[in-house]
Amino acid sequence: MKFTTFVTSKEDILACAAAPNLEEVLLEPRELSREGRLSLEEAQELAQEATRHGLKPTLVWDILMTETEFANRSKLVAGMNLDLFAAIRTQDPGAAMWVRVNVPGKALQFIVENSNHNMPGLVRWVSELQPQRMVLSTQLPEDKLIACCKQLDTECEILGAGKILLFYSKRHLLQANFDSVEDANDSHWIYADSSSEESASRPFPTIENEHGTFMYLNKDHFILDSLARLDEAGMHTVRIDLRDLQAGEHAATRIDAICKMTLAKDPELDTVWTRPTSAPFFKRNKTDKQFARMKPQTRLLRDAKCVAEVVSVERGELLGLFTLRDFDTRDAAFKFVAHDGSELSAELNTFSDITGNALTTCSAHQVVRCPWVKGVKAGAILVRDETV
Amino acid sequence: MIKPELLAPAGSLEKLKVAVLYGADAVFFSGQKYSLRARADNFTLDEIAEGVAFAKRHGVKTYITLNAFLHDDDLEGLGEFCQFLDAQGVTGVIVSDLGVIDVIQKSSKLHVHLSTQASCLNSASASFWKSQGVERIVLGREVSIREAQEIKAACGLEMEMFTHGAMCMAYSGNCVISNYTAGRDSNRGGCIQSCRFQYQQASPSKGCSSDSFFMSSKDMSGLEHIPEFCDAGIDSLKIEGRMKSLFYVASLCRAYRKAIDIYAAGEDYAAALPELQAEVNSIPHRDYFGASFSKPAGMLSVFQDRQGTIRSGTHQFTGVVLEKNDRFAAVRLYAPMMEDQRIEIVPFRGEPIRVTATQVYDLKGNRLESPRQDCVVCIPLDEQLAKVEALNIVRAARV
Repeated sequence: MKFTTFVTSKEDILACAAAPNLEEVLLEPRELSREGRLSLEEAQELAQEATRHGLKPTLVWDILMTETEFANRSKLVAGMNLDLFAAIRTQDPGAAMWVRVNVPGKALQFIVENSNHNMPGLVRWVSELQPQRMVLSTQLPEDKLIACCKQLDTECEILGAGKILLFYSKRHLLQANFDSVEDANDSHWIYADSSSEESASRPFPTIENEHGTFMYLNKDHFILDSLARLDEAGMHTVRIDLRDLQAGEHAATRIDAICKMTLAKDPELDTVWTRPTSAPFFKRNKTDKQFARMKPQTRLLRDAKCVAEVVSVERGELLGLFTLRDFDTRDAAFKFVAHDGSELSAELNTFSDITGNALTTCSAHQVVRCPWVKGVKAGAILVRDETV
Repeated sequence: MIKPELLAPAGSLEKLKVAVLYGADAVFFSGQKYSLRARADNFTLDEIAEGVAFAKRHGVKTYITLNAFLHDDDLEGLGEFCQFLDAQGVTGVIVSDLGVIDVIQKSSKLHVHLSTQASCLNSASASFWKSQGVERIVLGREVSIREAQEIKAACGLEMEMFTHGAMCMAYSGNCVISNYTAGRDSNRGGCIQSCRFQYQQASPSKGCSSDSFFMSSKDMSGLEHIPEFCDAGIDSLKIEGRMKSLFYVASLCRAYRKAIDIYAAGEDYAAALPELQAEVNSIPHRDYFGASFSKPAGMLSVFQDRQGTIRSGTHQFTGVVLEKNDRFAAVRLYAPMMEDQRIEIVPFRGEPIRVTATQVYDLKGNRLESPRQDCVVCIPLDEQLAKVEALNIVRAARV
């Protein structure tokens, strides 16, 4: 298992060169990367510096781009000396396609972080883009990550420690409230902590820069102490993102120590991480478990047995039904099913239309009256009771 | 110039029929699984069959949304569902996830449209999706009309653009706040709309703070841009809102149907615009803005207000005609009526029928002075009301 990390300075590269199992560094030009701070020239210089120290530099081009932006940014990339980079990392499939068409031999690292959680999709991305590496989602639990390592015919990467991106917008959302720049060297960046009324105790770090607005979880993803099974399964790369862990111009301070402690399974490892940590989906992802409770229980019963919906209740006197299909009022027993799924059997033998004519057969899409049944409310459905 | 398809949301079978009757060329809806609206009524298999048959009878296309980003376990049954959709004659499916596309293509011959959830924003990306068998791109809402035209020219795929409704503030598919704060997967239908919350913000370095709804987007309205959409050759104009009311669906289908027809017929669009805008202002909405149709959405695109103070619209939704016989129109009321209230019954085509509801009866035949909501009332037909049809919308007349 290897490590990778972001770098912004020669000092970072020296730290990376001293880090065990770290053979690659990630370089983020500000024109191409969500959180890039390097000029294109600086990125290229650092790429050369990394190579001199035996590290493989990867160019990070992970912004999403509309057509106009894509035209502009791809020109910038085309103007770079891409030979300096061992790989290019993209999220936008357009950028991935550009790499494939314009730099066909270049290794591609493709980010599928917020989605692409199923094996058929991941297999197909690999098959179609032939990436050197897939940067997988932190929402995939450990067992699925292991399956990816075993089944995907490419390298797999997962975030070992670092910020969890919650929200990425093209719009500039902070400048209305924080309209002045932070300092002269950071002119495109605005920082804020954002606490919602629903999560007042959890201020989410929020950044605005030229690419839009980014919000992060208040806790960092951290699985550096739980890598054994992934290592055994063949996880190729673990990303350690130190960019905002410490103030200052460097992005990889202490990376060498953290890599050593990780490999040594040092119990003090989590103490070097100064921000609160979490790995909410590493053991299990249950983010679909609430869905079944969000829907009225009657929805799935709206099949051929469902003949009408209660649309009016005249308490003590009658119910108004809107028929959903043709039915014979004499040939079946009926029951009402309420929103919460509770059932109420009813002997209904008197149906009439809105002008009071008795009905033995009801047509679809007709308002009919039937006797009031205690407990039945508007929105309940009338279904044939086949248990009778 | 092409005349774009008007594509309307259908959160339920009743909304599907209303959309069709009020002028949609196509409707999009979903089954009980695989879509992004876990809380919507959505359609059972029987309802899908009925909805598709109804749409076909009216020459309207049907697109089923399968646009969730699915985990492996969620794929169970998807192939069979696609075979069912294929057998019903569904026009196409709207998909975000390459794994879902894979299952669809292996199990059916359904036409695949790429959902906006995949945030396809440029021609190179569109070319990739074309290589995967996608026939239409529902572009990300950050794309301008001019850019859409360029993407279409470059890749040769059909282009669909959202033209009206609520907007994600994030790039679609790139917001997972709900996942981490509420344990509900936003990309599988569990979005809790964190973007509509009020946020207290503090700048760590500046020491200042602010309370705002900084992530809440105004609603998009493309009514002013209909000529540009048509001239740019955009194939389909989509109205957002499967969770919205019958009133919303009917009013927007009416307005956009008229708008597209007026421009396509070469009539004076500028002259017609005020009346069309009045129609879209009749429904509850957040403030409208022009999305990124002509320029990137800026600071004025933020809805700095509470969700509870959405503009109420110029007309209140009163009800829907469920049935008409030779004596009565039976109206399901979604709002109470006042005594002798002026109401408008909105036909599928033409001017609203304005009447004073002086005689309103309950289902027992008792005359009502102020009927409550959530009931059915009968309104006697006269010469003026003889034109009323089932599924016409009833709204309170503007005072």
